[in-house]
Amino acid sequence: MTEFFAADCLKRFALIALCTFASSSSSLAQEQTTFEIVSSTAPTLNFYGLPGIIDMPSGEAMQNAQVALGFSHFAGTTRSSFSFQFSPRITATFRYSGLKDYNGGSGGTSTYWDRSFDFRYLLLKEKAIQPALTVGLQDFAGTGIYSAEYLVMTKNFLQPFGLSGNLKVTAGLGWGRLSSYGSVGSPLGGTRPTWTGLGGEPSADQWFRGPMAPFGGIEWQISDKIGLKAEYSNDAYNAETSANIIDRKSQFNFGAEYEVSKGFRLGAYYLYGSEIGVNAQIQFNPNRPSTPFNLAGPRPVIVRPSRATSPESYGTSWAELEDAPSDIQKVIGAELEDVGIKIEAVSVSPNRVELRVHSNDLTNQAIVVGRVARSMARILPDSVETFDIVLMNNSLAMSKVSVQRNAIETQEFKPNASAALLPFVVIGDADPSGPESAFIPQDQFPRFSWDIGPFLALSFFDPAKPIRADAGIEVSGNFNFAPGWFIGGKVRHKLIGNSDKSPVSGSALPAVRTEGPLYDQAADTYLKNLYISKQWKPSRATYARVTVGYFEQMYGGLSSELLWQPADSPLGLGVEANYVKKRDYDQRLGFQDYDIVTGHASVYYNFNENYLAQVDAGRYLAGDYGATFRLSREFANGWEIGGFFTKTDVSAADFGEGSFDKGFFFKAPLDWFTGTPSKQTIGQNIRIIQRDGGQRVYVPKRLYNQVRSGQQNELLADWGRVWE
Amino acid sequence: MGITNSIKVFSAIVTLLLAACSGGTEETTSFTGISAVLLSSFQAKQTAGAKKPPLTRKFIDNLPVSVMEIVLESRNITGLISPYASRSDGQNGKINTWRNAANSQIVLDNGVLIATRGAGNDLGSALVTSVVESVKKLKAISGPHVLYVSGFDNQSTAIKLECKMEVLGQIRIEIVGHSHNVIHLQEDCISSIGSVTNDYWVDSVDSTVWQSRQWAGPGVGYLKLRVLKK
Repeated sequence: MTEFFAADCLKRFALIALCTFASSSSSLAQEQTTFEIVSSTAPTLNFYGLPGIIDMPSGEAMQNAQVALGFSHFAGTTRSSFSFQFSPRITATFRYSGLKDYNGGSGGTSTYWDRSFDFRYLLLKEKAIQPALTVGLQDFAGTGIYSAEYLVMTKNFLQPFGLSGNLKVTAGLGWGRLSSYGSVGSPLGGTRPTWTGLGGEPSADQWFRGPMAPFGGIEWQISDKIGLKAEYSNDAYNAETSANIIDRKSQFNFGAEYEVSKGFRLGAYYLYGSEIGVNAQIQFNPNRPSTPFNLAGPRPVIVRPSRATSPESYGTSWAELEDAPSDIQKVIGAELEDVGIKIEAVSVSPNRVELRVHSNDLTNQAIVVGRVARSMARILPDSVETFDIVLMNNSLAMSKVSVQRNAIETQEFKPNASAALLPFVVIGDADPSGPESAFIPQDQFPRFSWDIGPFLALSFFDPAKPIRADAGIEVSGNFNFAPGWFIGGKVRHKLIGNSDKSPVSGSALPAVRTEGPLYDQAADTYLKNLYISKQWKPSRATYARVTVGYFEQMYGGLSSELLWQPADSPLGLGVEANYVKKRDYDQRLGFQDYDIVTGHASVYYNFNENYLAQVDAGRYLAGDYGATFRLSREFANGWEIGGFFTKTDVSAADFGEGSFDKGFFFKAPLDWFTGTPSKQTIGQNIRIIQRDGGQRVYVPKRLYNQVRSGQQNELLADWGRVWE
Repeated sequence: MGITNSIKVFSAIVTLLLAACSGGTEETTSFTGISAVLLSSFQAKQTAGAKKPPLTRKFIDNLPVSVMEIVLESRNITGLISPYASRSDGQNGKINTWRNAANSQIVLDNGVLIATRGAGNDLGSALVTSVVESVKKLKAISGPHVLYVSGFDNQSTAIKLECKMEVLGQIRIEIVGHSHNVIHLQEDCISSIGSVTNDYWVDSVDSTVWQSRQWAGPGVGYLKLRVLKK
């Protein structure tokens, strides 16, 4: 790395002195804290990991897109929460709670583990006089231990009574658990039905029913670092008191919090007249990268002389030259190599040139368009007026972006330059391949990559162990031997871990997923996947894929997929059909007897601001029929956070605990953390409980996620960086 | 899992992370690539604190190209930049791109900052018509000053500054042994995210901005610029 920078300095400047100075400025890379709360009035978290006081909620919403992680402990109760401000008004939370010595414990341990979901909606935003008002559903679809509803308002007072800092005043009304102390009656219904069933179903019949009780409190943020809190709680902790895990003597709670760094806050509390509690709060926003994305500056655009002053330079005879496309590929390709962009095909005409390009490093396809257009403007003969840039990914043409050269020459230094360029750009479908006359560099295939490194596989919510993990070494390879043809494989060897200790739960359905622990137990060295796939574009707006092999830990077979996804449409439609067999537990080459034809019809829709909805309807691995609903928020920088649930014709009783399949997921781009261009991501799909109903096979290289980064919605979301 | 086991797991992962390797014609997609990026990022940060030689007129005069000193106040970084590209502004002026050895760039419209590149959360573009007029005519012309900053989920965000330009007077400044007669222009601006003050020390004869302190938006902050060698 150091040698590279040194050589670069010498090459570019031939000035050792400048290089010496520049080494101190590096690439002007910015250090920025990962976790950032917007202002001193930003909401802090309560013991449930949501905007609130101590144990009570408040009426504010977090900053749009904010992610909050909360870890609280008191009276033998530990709550770990993940909250996401899905939109400016909607907050969603998943919580995993452990109550020591409660209800006989779970999984043979003394701790009772409980999963719960919350949903909050900001009804009114805070204004000069008007407080923020929120309605919330707490534990609305779990086993009901924390089930409650509330209406709560909060008002901020800057420098109250001439004091420093900010004062928040909160008052609310609660139902369910939040009316177990100090009830003032039942204005919306006399009795609250008791919880029944297997959990997981929304308990709508309980919401806002039964007794209602007030609560409230204050939070005084004295300085940037220190805050004090006091509240009156309407939670009697009846169940915990009965189980002797809390000795409640008072309804008043007090606490002090210290902001260790922006977005990281620790608090200590005295609760219910007898208990000491602690709370750790972490907040960050996917919109604020840990390290700003940073790419070395581009080459300058060269502006052509005007046709009037230099008519001879606008000649078109160059286009007749046999070597013109290959020369263009060589010269422009050399410039683009710096940023990892490769040219796959070149076609020329006197006024128009098409380049088919892909980038190994850049997720942001607007930057790819910008860099390619710059180089075209620098190098192509003056007669070329239109640049057609076809964005490729794994040999699939995602879109064609046509850019007027004149705009590249004139708009870069205009105010709001990225928006100023847009009227001169057309984004549309690309032909499956270039014209027959196109020049295709011969050295493109085979492409391959291999990798030896560690792996870490996590599993969650085992009743005896909240998190289980395996770690070991992984060898993987990807061989792309011709356009659209891939051979991929991955072998793992487990060095340490406890996933094989998970119990195998019984099931009324074929054990299509619940036998996962048997796979973990059967082998330390195993073939994770091995497949061959072919993908192509049958037409300008359709994509196709066929895959054969071992797809994942538990299934292998034949998979085929067809996707209709015009480049400028928010709507996509797909069908997938698979014939799969269950693999042997040892995950070598053998199969078990269980086989099934499974498949889905899918609808994809990309709403404004990149809210993605997906519905997959069809037949699942256990032979059940139904549909999966998936909703996520994707950020232009690559973060994606969302949730899903699947309802099939399997009854709640046959499905088992949880009633139906559901979970949430996140995906974080690596360059969000490092600022260095990379297409790699880290992520996790978290199921609330793994059962056999509503399960799909995991097939490598599904089409939708391969093509959407180069299509209009995502290109426009990225467009602010087109000149970088 | 006991603490001993936890430490064993952690050690095994770190060892493997450092020992991981990859190859081929394409970028890899596994954990090895992740570790490589993390390590390279760490190495880049390690080099940021290198010591600079003293800046003297002799050193500057020996440089074969024009040179400007740049200070990023918010990051406490000082460096030298040299000209990279120049084009006409269409009104007898110049738009110049300067860069450092790592190819981070700034773009100046007649000495007024209109873009940064490669700094992270960059200034993408700017509306600076009245500032450029003030510099060219050496008098106070007030007007809107809009910064379009990138970053923050890849969007271009407009920061509208309402500015009042003022001539603070003619003074003589020294830049590493060279003196210049300049007019000091000061631009006081307010916006929804606070107040900003930009200063320009402009040659009283040919309108060269010899020295300036300009705000490039919340991501980059203030830049101090001094023309060491024109």
